[in-house]
Amino acid sequence: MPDGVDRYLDQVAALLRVHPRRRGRVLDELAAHLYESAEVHGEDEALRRIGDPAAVARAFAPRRRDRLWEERDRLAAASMLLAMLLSLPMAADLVALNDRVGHSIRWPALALAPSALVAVASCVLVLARRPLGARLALPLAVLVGSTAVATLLGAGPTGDLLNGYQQGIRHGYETAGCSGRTLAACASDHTGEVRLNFSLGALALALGYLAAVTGWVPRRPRGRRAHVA
Amino acid sequence: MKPDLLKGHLDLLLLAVLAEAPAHGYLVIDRLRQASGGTFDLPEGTVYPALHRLERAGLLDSSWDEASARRRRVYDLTARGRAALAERRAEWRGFAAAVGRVAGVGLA
Repeated sequence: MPDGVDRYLDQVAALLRVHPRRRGRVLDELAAHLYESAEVHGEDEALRRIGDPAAVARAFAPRRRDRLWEERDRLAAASMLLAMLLSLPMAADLVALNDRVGHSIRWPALALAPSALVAVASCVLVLARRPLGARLALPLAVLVGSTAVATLLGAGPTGDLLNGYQQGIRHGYETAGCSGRTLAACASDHTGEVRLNFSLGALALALGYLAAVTGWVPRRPRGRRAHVA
Repeated sequence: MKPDLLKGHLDLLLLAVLAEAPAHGYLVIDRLRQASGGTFDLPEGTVYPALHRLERAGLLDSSWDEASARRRRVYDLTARGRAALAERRAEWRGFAAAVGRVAGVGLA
């Protein structure tokens, strides 16, 4: 690609404020246009004809009503970070109860750390508009998905963590919301709720995040296209 | 012609150009220039955002043309686009006739 065209596309890319999926399409279209124009008119004239890169990037900026949709990747990243932050008290409860019944949380913590690290890295990179953030969304969904399935089945590190939680309630270390029930029944109910909410909530969040950052939308049916004249 | 004069009419012109046949951005600009005898020589970069906007409004459809040596995005009018074009043509006829009457300029 000619240097001038390359520089022009870099300038547009730096100023484009659209969803990453659309960004690729915009830059591909402009690149194809500039190639063709440069072949016919020469590079300098092609760059003059296409106009100021800042003006072109600005013209792609979404209208107010479309802005949330175009920024859905960053909204999803912010939501994911917020959800992780809000789940910290629940995680602290789990850790405290496991601690009181003498369950080590080292293994569950080590097993869950990669998901948390990938999630934070992906969200921060998406918020910083770095393409790597979106590329981490699929590994994150796989990690969260497998953890969610294991949690639902009561297996793996989260299964251990929930067993400790259940024992903690059964021993009476946590009795909130248990009135009118035996501690054993309360422990079973609470643990079941946490298991279901954590698994399905985390899975829904990870899949929603994946769709938002990759720009996935349900495919529209297309008609047959006539040939370009 | 000053690009500002075209601003309110760009949608009509793009829809009309694409009503002839599907085309990629470069070809749309070329047809626009040719059909206007060089009068509509606007900054080419402004045509792409307009094409994207019309597509989002459901008036155009687009897909990558991988058949030629260079990969290009090809735009085509949708049924809604054809209806919108007919509507805008009628509006333009009324508008141009009214301006002509007031300004004392006869339309050929």
